[in-house]
Amino acid sequence: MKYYIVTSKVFETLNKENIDYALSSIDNSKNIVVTSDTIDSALSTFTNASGLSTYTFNNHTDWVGDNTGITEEEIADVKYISGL
Amino acid sequence: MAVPSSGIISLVRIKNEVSEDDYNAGVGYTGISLQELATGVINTNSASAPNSNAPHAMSEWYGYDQDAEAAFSDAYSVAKSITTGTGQAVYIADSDAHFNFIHSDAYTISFWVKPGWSANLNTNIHLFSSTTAGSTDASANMIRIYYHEGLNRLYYEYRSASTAKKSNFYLFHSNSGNHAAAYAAANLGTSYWSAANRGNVGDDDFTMITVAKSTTNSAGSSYAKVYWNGTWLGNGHYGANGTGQGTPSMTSVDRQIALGSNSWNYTKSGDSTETQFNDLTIWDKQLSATEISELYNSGTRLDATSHSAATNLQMYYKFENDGTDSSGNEAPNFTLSGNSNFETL
Repeated sequence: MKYYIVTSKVFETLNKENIDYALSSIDNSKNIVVTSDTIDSALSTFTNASGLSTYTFNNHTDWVGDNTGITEEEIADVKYISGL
Repeated sequence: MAVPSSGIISLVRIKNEVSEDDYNAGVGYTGISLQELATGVINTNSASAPNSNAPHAMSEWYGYDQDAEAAFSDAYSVAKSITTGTGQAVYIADSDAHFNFIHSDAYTISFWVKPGWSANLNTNIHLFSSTTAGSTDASANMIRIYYHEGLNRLYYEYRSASTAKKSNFYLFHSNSGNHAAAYAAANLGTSYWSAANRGNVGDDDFTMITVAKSTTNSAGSSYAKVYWNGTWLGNGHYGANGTGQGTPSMTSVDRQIALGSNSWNYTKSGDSTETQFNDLTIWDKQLSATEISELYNSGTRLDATSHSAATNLQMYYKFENDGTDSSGNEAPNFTLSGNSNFETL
């Protein structure tokens, strides 16, 4: 899996079948994406779930309302389902 | 057994009721008097009790019950601080096997919740969570019920390792397929569950969430049924057999239990305003739909000790301005720390 932050416009173009985890930012302007695809136009790229998780904890106001971040466990457990 | 409410009663047997909690205990006492008994420690919860004023009469003891419980009242709830960490938690640490369910156990966990989180939470809030007592490992015999606000999903999951877990989730904003039952039961519409959109509620804007699991090692809807108030949420996203990874093999060790946060580092407690909890009951069997409807009681919390399945009540927390167990099993007390507190309804 590969770990990215992309704009919402880029997210719309992705192959949803290959997405394992996704979450929109609070303002819906960008998305976290964990996918098997390679994305060239990402805003940020992370080498693993730990790096992505740490980023959200350091930039939590963009992503969560509880002053924490997105845990590795959530990234592993909460599966993206297209259309839901 | 209480003192009979009529007929001939015995002074020695009244003493047995007071000292042995059994009118017919048959313990011999000498040198007792009505004055001594009436001016001693009396259980004022008993609907019938003597007064301490002379003259004292045997008839004042008719119907006296030494272990009568206080009449059920529902004036308080627990408000979980949105601040995280052990110092803000609502939790217990079991030490004597009151809560040690494993993957092959049948059990039911039920509680009432009044959301305080906002539509901007965008992450999960743990409603009920338990893991091995003293452990900070999220996978240590974990059982949890949590809501992901950003996705509008209510999850039930248990695991023994990060690679050995079972779960299912219930989605509330899609009125089709496996999700239609949850859509109807919650009545949240197309907006997500939050303080601004509580859907179908019982008294005081609380919703009763219940997970009733069978002995089968699965979180699928055929084996672990999840209810909103008294209404079954249907198959959930992963259907009859649920989903998961590996085969959980939990061990029967004591657990710590948290309300309003996870139980391994006490985070994920929501945002905006405190989420409130009330009347947590834990049962050592899978309650039936009828029994859960009885517990819901048309939205008015009832005294669970009067429930038709009360003999299966393992732990019972009314949160009536204290964290004590009312199941009769002397389960450990809930501790509230920091800004978490009991609040009047």
